[in-house]
Amino acid sequence: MKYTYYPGCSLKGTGRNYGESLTAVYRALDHDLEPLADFNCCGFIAYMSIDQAQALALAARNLSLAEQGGVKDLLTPCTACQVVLNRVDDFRVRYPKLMDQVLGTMREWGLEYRGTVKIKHPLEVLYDDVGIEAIKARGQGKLSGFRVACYYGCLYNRPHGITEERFFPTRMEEMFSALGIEPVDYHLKTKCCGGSLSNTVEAVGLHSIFLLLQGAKRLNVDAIATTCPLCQFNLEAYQDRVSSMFGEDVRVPVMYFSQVLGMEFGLSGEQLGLQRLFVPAKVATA
Amino acid sequence: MTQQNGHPKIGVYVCHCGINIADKVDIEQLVAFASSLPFVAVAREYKFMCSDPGQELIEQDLRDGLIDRVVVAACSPLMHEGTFRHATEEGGANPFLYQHANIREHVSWVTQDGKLATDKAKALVAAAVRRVALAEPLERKRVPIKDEALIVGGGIAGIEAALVLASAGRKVYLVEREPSIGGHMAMFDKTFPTLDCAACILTPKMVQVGQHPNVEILSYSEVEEVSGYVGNFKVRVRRKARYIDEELCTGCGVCIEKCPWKNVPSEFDQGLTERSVVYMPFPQAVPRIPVIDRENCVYFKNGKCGACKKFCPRDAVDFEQEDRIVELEVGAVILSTGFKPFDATRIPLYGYGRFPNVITSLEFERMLNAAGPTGGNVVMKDGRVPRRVGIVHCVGSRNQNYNAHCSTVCCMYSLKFAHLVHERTGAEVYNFYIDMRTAGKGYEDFYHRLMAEGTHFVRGRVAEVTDVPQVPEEEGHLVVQVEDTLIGVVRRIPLDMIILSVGMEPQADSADVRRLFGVSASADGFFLEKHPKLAPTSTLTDGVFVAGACQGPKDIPASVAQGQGAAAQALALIDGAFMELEPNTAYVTEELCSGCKTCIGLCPYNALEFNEERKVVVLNEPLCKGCGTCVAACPSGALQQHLFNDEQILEEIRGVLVSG
Ligand SMILES: Cc1cc2nc3c(=O)[nH]c(=O)nc-3n(C[C@H](O)[C@H](O)[C@H](O)COP(=O)(O)OP(=O)(O)OC[C@H]3O[C@@H](n4cnc5c(N)ncnc54)[C@H](O)[C@@H]3O)c2cc1C
Ligand code: SF4
Ligand code: SF4
Repeated sequence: MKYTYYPGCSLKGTGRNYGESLTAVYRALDHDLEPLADFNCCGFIAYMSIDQAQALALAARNLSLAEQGGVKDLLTPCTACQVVLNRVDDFRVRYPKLMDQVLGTMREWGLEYRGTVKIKHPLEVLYDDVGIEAIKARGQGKLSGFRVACYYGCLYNRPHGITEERFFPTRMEEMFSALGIEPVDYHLKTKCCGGSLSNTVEAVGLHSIFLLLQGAKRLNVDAIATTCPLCQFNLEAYQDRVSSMFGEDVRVPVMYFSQVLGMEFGLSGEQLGLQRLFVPAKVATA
Repeated sequence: MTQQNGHPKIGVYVCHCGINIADKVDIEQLVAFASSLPFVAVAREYKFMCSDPGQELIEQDLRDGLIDRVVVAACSPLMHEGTFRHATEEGGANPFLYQHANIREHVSWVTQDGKLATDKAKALVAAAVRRVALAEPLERKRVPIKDEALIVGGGIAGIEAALVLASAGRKVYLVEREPSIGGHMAMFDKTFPTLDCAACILTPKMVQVGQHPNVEILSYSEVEEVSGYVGNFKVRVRRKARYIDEELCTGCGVCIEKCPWKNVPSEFDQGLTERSVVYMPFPQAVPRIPVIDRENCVYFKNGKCGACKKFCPRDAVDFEQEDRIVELEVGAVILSTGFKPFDATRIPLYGYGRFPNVITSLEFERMLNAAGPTGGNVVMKDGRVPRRVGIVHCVGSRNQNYNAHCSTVCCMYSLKFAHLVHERTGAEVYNFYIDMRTAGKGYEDFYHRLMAEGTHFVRGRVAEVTDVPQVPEEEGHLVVQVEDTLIGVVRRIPLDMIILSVGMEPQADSADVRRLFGVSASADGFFLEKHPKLAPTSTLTDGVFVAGACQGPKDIPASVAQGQGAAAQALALIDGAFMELEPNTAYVTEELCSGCKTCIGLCPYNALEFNEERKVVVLNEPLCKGCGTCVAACPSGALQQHLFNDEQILEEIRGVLVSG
């Protein structure tokens, strides 16, 4: 099957290897993953707080393009993008006046949006549509015994999305377990990574990062697996700093869940963009 | 005007309703208009028609022979139609030679302009006059009432209702789906605010019900089907097989002792202890008759064992027993099916099911109970006594993601817990609350007592319970993260044990029970009462009453009060030997019926039946609620309705249309 995904800014920037590895993993499972053509910025939080209507119009433009292209499920790897794109449908119900404004702007651009596109995380699609069985069948035992802290971050299914998975999702763990990978009992899995606070209010942002890394490190993991490029960046890029700041070595590889899957499938490091990681993972087995 | 009643003499009475009507409607004009209408013999006005002198006006005119039928133009018929029908009857006329015109709710309260209001009132009065001219005298039919009652659910509310009815000399069937009555209260150790021992006040009641000659307990049973109507319900009850003969069994308990399989998680102990396959849920069970749990019984699996049968001194064990159906006929029904505690695993951040020392309030009740899993000792999973205990209020309550409603009891039982933890362990206790709601009699005193005992009260909804430490003092503890809204800081409090005060939800099968008995639900899913203030234990289905937590979260005092209230209501109903039916039923003119059966499926009350011999439809009058659905649907005009026949309605419409 052919899936369309919304890359957002990160999958073209810091999260390039997320897009690469997702595409490779989907391909390995006989599915195509293509970026949404002519997409634009999702209208992220920073813009949202300055001009909500304009920011939402940016988000809605992406949805409109997807709708025109006949896309039913728009795969959205970045959980922050997910929040913003989901807001369009949510606000349609809760703040109809604001949405009138947004749709007005869209009309000026010659676009409309009827609300037929569903936002889905690629992890959700792997689990629901591709199915654990197919994934298991593709496994090669490369990572058996590889200890992973599955980290979803705070925006995965929050505030929109599947209610039961808001605070204690388990899809990644189930998938990894089926492949013989060892997910550890990582109780911090939906705690915030600090988001943009690592830039703006450093004391808070870096402390969050430290706690998450410390929690994983103490569980002796081989890597942390994430579902969001912002989380991945935060957890990976500041490791030296927080280690010296808090006086505890918390350095640990941080990968995308798709990279972990790809390694297990035996895909090459290059296909998965592993060379772009700051903290390279050592795979236990050959 | 079509005219079938000789020369009717109609009296029209216009009410001012103080200034409610008179301020908008020109009364003088309206009365003059009414006098000008055909067949109107008298038209009068009065400040308050519903007062005694007002009614007397009507009665006097009837007695004087000035009039023989009546129209009152006043408030909504919901308020006073009954009043004026009665006055008409007192004056010596048939009470159904009466028509009501609503010129308050339909006119003066909703029409701004005085002229328009007066015109509208005229139209309504003209319509009522035309309709009453065609009214016919009707009789109220009487049907006998069954003087027995059914109670569904044997918690404290149902037990209480049963005792009231039984001591008034009525036969009561108490249907309980568990092996024993008692409900949730039987699980508790102490009850707020007085800290009475729950068993000490509950078991005497259970025994009393068990022994009362007027009460028949059908335990381990469920209602399957209900038909009939107020005063005459027919109910089918499934008595699930216990595999023990209730007549022979003396409750000696030898079977339980001898059963070699003792590893089934006890439902009553919330899975914290194990019971044998043949069991009574708790020592004071009523009736004292065990149940063999077929699912887990080895005899049913492979025909081996049968220890219970071998050792039973009364030969009461009967593996061949099957479910039985019992048919009951009762005049009134009381639903007292209680509540279901909120499932704490639905809030994963509170760690229930993940951390062994996070427990629910119901588990904690069992722990406090001397007959429970720990013999009444407050201990952690590893047997140690906790030094710091947290009690989280409002778990699943007052939360848009789960239940918006307040569970009303969890503040109070959390205070009870705080006291008992302190008393039994000396531990430091934290209560995390949103608002402290202690509105019952004596409840605020209890709160003050707890404050004096040194319990910590932290105002804030707990965000999370975690086992991941951030500072050395947190190592090895559970940590509650909470915003303390009174001091405006986020706190992390290390604790040994955490009790989740779960809220109350409707029973899982409450929608099925509602459907069986024709009862609606309020938005939160609890059974809907007829009126929140004035009819709290009645429902919109006549003869079906509600009591206790099935109607909404409430504590024991309120459940008991409702149980007693519902019993009194039921008693008032079944105490009369007969019941009067409103005469506004449908009726069939058999010569016109073509036998198409259109009507039969449409009737929501199953009041129509087909007579195969005469090939026509017949009406079971007591079942007919006068909704008129069949009348509107009948293509042959064979179905008509008393008080609403075609001619009467058409005349009323003409009255509205031609008045201006
Ligand atoms: C942890 C906890 C502690 C509490 N502590 C106190 C306290 O200290 N003081 C206080 O005043 N209140 C307390 N309460 C509240 C108290 O439990 C309720 O007020 C009380 O139990 C309500 O009684 P009930 O008879 O309406 O319902 P329940 O006790 O729920 O009884 C309902 C009965 O109906 C039966 N039933 C249900 N459905 C059917 C069916 N379809 N057919 C047949 N039978 C059925 C059930 O098996 C049960 O026996 C506490 C509640 C909780 C959760
Ligand atoms: S041994 Fe027989 S009489 Fe005694 S409780 Fe069991 S079934 Fe009843
Ligand atoms: S709809 Fe009318 S005609 Fe048809 S069966 Fe019913 S009463 Fe008779």
